[in-house]
Amino acid sequence: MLQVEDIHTYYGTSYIIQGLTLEVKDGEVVCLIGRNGAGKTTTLRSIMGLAPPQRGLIKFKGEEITGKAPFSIVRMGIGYVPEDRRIFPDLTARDNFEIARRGNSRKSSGGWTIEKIYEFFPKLRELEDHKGTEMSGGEQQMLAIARSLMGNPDLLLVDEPTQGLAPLIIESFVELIKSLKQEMSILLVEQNASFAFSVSNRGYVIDKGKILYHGSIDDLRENKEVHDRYLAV
Amino acid sequence: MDIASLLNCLADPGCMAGQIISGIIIAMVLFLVASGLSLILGVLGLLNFAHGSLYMIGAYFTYTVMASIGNFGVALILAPIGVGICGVILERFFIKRVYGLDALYQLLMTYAFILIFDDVVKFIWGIFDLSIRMPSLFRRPPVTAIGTIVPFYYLFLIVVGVLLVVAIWLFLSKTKYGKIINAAASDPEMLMCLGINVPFVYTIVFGLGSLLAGVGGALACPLRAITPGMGFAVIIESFVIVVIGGMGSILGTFVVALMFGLMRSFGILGFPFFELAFIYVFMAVVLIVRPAGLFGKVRI
Repeated sequence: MLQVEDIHTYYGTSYIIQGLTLEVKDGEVVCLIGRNGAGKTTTLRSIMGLAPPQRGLIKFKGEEITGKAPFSIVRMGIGYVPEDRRIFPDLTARDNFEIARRGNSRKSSGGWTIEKIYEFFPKLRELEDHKGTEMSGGEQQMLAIARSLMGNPDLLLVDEPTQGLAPLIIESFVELIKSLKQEMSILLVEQNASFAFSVSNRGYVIDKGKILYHGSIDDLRENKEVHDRYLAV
Repeated sequence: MDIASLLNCLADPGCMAGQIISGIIIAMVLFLVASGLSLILGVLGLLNFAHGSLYMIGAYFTYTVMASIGNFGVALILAPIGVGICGVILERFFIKRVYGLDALYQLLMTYAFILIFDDVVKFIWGIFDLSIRMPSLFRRPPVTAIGTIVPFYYLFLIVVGVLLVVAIWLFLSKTKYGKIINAAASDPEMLMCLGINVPFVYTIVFGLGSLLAGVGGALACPLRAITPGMGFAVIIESFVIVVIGGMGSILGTFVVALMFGLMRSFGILGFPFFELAFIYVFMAVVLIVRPAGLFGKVRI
């Protein structure tokens, strides 16, 4: 589904991603964990074309997407839920879905409609006339995910969905990610490793812009360094 | 100062109605130009000093259509569309390169276009003032009401102006495209991540803003001389209106354009030669008390 091969990304003069390689296969949930400033967000921004890598190759469904404009990458089937949710302050939940709705040419059947979103997130039906600024953090996060689904992604990039949310809400997001998994592949960036491990098939550990370690979730749980650094509280 | 004549006018319903009407007429044309300016400033973050030149081009296009076809209705449609197309070309080739840059670069480029457009206009239409005859449709006896005489064209201008205010407001707040424009103003990068071609949205917004300036220019034609440099006064006044009203607010632009028109039409009676000072003093006060403008949202 997604191949990232040896990418190098700079922000101005700072060298953030220093030769990163990762892969997401069809139907997988893959997590990317690492500490603050390790390059997790920049990895996603590189894939989206928001921070295009200077070197390296990114392929989606076998086609090279390096250097393409973000909106074309979205139209090819990648959805993006950024870290700070980025809810448009003046628009209602329903407005958000309307502007994000894309034609359904890629998928032969189904596809997301506003009605299907409301079945999936009943809470958002109640909030449809509310503006983003009138919602709680959890509701905004739900809206941010739901909005990106309107583009009918085959791969969803989600950046720290649990950040700032109460433990009870995080639990409900475990179920959410598991049910989304039926419909698409997911690349999940997290600092909360226990959340990430409970929903993912595989994981990568990133540090200083490089992949330090990768393997199945069981491998990661058993790895002492990973355990000490990211799971021990 | 001539306070007495101002007080006399305020005491006489006929004179007062006349001044109100002439204030509204000033406001309508300014509103159209300022609303385009406000849209471009609010969505693209661009200080477009060449906006007044687009108004001027709208007036010259109207002159040309009137000279060749002679139908004001056709001119009112063709001239703004022509200006919109000029705007799209201008944005595609030049303006898009200064987005996000320091305001000085934007000032430099758009100011350069004021000079370029003025010279192009002189080159094509000559250096002398032009004018069009009042279109035949409006050559009919003025309406007399509340003791004042209102030219028929004034009524038309007021109706068109009000219809356009409503249309722009409906478009921006009720349609999907309006919502996309709103989202582009607050977070273009996120909008792009929802699959929207934001550079294209920018071009359309610039084109629409230009078209509004063109409508202003076309509607002003029967009232004013068409002359190189006519855009300059308009751009300054439009900026003042946008600053006081709050950028990106159509309602604010409309209300402040009306205030501006009335301050001028009454100010000229009581304080001839100084009437413009009022609006600038008012702007200074607004900027001190409410820097985001009367109707603008305070963005943190």
